[in-house]
Amino acid sequence: MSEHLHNDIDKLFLDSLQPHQDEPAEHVWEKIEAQLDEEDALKHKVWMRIMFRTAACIFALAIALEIPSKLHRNGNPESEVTLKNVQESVLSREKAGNSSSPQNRVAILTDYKNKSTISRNNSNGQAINRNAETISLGAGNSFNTLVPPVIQSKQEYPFSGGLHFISLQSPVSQVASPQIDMDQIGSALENQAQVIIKRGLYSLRHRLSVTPYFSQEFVGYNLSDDDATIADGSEIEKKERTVFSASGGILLNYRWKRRWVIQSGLSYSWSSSIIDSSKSYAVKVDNSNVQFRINTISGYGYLPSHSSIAPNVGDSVLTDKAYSKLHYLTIPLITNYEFKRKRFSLLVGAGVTINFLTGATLETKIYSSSFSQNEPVVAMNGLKKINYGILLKAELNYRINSKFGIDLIPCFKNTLSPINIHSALSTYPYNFGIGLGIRYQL
Amino acid sequence: MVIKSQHIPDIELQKLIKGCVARDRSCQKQVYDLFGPGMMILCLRFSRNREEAEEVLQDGFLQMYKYISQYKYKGTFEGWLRKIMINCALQRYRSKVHHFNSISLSEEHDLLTTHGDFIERISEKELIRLIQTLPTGYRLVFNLYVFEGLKHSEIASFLNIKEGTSKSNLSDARAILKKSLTRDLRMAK
Repeated sequence: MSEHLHNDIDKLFLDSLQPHQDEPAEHVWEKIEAQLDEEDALKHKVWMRIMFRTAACIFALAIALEIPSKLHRNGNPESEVTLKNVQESVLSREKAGNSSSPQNRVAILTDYKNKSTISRNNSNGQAINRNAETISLGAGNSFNTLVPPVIQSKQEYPFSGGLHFISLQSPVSQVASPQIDMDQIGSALENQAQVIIKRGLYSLRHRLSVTPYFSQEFVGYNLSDDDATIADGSEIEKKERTVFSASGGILLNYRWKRRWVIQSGLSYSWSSSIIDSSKSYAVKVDNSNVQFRINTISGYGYLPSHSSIAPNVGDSVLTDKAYSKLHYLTIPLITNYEFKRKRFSLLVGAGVTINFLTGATLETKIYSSSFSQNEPVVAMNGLKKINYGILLKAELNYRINSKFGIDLIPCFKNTLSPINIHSALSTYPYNFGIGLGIRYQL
Repeated sequence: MVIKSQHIPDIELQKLIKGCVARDRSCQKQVYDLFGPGMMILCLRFSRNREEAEEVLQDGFLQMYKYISQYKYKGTFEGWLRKIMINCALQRYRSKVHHFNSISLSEEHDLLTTHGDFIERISEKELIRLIQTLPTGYRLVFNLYVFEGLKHSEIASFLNIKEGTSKSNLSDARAILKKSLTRDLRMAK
């Protein structure tokens, strides 16, 4: 009778209300539209900001790339002698009858990249060529005939970063001989001088250094409630706080240009969080298994029941504080620009990281009316094996001697892909760390 | 002119959804016009009053526009939208403290079973009002069980309550509704 009555009630409401519709008030759409306009404006603003920042980064990068290459091309302005200057200088010396000075030494070099002819001369009349080991002139041209260069010396200086200093001597007295047509020289310099520079067999060892480091980190989380159809996970966030996070590893530094350093390596990071005491509810794990599930920001774990009676779906237990631990192996790839001042150098860099999950565990204690038990450490589920991120860092180095230096490394990391999957929340951790390291020049 | 959702061809609906993904305001408005009235009745059932229902409807549509790119055309769009609306309603419930208390009910019956004509004449608005007078926990369980067809185990996991609590809440909700209907019937007599 009672069941029949219940069914009647259900049927009454279902039949009466299911097909029914109710027109919402006008102002509801107005409010929705206003909110949508606001969201669109915000989105537009965010895009504009991203575009602006990207443009600024590209501009800054372009300038940063241009400055060293200009410095490289121009050298020391005081010691620079351009082709035009060489001609003018030679002509004026000829006029002044001073052309036979033995101190006048000229070197004609070719820029390795664009093959444009440049001439350099240091205060002692020595030509300096970076990244070059041998220089030869095209055979049979008039310049070669008129101004035979002589490789006078080849030296490698201790702090030259493997650069070879080559001095070329060109006896200008020959050039300035009254019998020689100076136009011909100029023409020879501009049109026919072919300088081939072979890239020096640069020692790889000089370009490499290693930095073992340890970093203490402060972790935060960006949470995104991606799935609109499942429960809001923000309540999980309120219960959890990170108590410790650190990373340690080794960075391999490769100097690919004078001021540009590429870093990669391997680091191991681990973090520990506390989840406040809370109720855990039994859920169906698979067809035959029901277990209590404990949720964290990162993932979730199943607590096996030690009771002889299996829990039913919806049953709950009170858990003590739970401790979650995450372990990752990270491979970074960072591009750095170096600023130098005496013994100090500052590397400022940005890069990407790829993070491999190596372990995720959860530990807690269950309280019940009749007993309390320590749960074994259980594996955490719902975490991705691999995630990606970006990294911004600075590295302040103090050079103790030619081999060793001390590094202070502030660093900001942010993951671009969520670390979890099939969870109420998508979690994007970020952290700020300050590390100490030792740089060793190989 | 408002086209009712059950009459719209799939292709038209797909076009509207694509327009919503592109945040085309006219498409968004059309989707609202199509599904708003159907969703409004759902929100009314889950809420205590019309104002609250309108807020849930507003939140639900905003969520839907935000995540519409995630709709993969598996199942009906209306079903997907219903889930979002229900989730929005439950979120409101979760953000406040509610207790699933039992309330004492006096024995009132059988008048209902013997007066079918009255039941038929009772308006939808009146039925909605009756549901809205239920305590929040009861209202949610009653809605999820009767209208959404969920099992008690599913309701329990949805609302983070025990299955037994869900069953007793449903029973109590029915009893309250029955009592209210009986009182109305007596007054009508």
